[in-house]
Amino acid sequence: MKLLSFMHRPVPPVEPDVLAALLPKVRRWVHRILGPNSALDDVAQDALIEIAKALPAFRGDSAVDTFAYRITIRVATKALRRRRDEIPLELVPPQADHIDPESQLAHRELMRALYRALDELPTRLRLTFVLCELEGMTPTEASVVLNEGAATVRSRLRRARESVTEKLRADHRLAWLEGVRS
Amino acid sequence: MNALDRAIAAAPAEAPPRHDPARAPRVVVVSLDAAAAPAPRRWRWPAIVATPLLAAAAVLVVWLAGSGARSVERAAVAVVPTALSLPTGDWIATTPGAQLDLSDASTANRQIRLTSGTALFDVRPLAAGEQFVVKTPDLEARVVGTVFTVEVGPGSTSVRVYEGRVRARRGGVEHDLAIGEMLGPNGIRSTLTNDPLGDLAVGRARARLATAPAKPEQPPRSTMPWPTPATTQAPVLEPASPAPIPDPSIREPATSTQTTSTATSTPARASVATRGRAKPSSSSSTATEPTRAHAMALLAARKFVEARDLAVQNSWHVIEGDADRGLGDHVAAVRAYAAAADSPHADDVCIGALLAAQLSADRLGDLEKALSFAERAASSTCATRERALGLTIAVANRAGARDTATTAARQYLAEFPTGSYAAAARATLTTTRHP
Repeated sequence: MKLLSFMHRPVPPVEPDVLAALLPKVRRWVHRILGPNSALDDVAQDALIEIAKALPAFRGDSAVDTFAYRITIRVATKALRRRRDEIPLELVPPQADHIDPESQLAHRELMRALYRALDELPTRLRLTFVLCELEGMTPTEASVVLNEGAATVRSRLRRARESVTEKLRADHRLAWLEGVRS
Repeated sequence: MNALDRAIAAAPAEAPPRHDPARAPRVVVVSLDAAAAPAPRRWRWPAIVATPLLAAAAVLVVWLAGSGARSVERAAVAVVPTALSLPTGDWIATTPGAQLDLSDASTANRQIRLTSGTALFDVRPLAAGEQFVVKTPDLEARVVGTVFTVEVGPGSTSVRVYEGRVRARRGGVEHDLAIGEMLGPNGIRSTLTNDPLGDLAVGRARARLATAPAKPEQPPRSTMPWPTPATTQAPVLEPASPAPIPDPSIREPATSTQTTSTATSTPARASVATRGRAKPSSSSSTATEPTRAHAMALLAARKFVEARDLAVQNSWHVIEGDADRGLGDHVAAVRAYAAAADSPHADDVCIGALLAAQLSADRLGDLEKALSFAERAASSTCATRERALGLTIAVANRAGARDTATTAARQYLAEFPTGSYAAAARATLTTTRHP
């Protein structure tokens, strides 16, 4: 009987405040993983739904942010796989208004080149690069989110950096812009 | 600055497109509604097929367990232990196929006969006059509130201790087993290995520590990630207010007689009793002579001053350290444990060094001294070697002594690749390679 009552215990409700607090973070994480993309809000919504489903089973083994980040990564990775065949890379202009047009153009081109380079990376390398270089996590922190060993993360980060460097160096539009600016 | 560095520097500054704050509540509500909606039913046909298969498998497991088939016992052991709670508050788990006979389940006298398989016993702390006895074909165990497993193998029995301290006798040779030690079927002492109920036993021991009632006079429990040796737990296991302490040598004559007759009739037989219990007929102590058991009984009654005086008079340094600990004098406790580590008794050397190391690191913050003691406790002749190496790794890491930590981690992994601190040892080596 105890087992039955345990199995049928009521699932604790998810507090809307928790999801509301996570929403900006989820959008930022999705934005970092996918890059500038019109599907940002759709993917963020999907991630939030998955988080709402999973939260009642959250046992407190990690921080809520880490827990939510893992789910967001899973959802964003699926979106990445879908998008590679469907949606061309789209660049959203940066928000800052105080930057001069030339710098804005350079920034947009740099971001475009960066995310185009990331688009060509295997998913795991891309996630490692995003977490460590764009989100500023240490390899150890990223290894917790990715559920990988720290050494593996370090190795992937090195390979990702080498690959992105090569691709940025080979990006002729970026090179042309650099030439114009200099 | 190359393009990669510039991109990395610029990317975090680029925030995602602005999100209308008015839309946020709607997004949350939609997410909650979608999460609450029932999931579409998938895999219906596989489930229909799998259910009877699982039921058949369950029936097969029960049948095999009942038949006591040794060949399948090992395979099923770690998966489906069977648990039994006695009305007396004791808890027993067995491997499938274990043959267990509850000879007497009265509160005063619980007697269990284990003829095959492995059983884990989590015994409620006994009140005065109570006893808990486990008998196997070649061993008899008498306990006072402890967690241990007994495995009846072909021809011999193994004992593994997860909480408390146990005195085992096999073929006339006595072994004091502390937490984390086992007496193998060949009579060799070692650290715990290959226990089919090991995870369960560790969980029970930890749960017991966690739920033990707080007692201000009790020696403070270690915050280290390894189990505190049993000497400091003894007070927890005894009743809160015991009657005036009788001399343990005449405390339980019935059991002593049983053990003696067992030992004399079959030399290969072994007996297990908690450390400090009076030796049966082989003991040279008399009713008027103070014994270690008497001092430990004083500790159990939390009469730390009397226990300490008795220990000092007789140079029982480990007990003296325990009493000092109970009195909250950690400096004196470390001194007493250090004296034990310098004594001529091999058991005292190892346990004294380990306790001194643990207390130095945990309570005094003297990491250098802790490392020195841990090194002695890690001697190859010590049964405390595994725990001492684990302690060395932790303390050396904390002290920033990378070389020491690396050396200890390598030694640990070479000797105890599946030990409790293997993960910490590997992490130490990984960190050293990639600082």
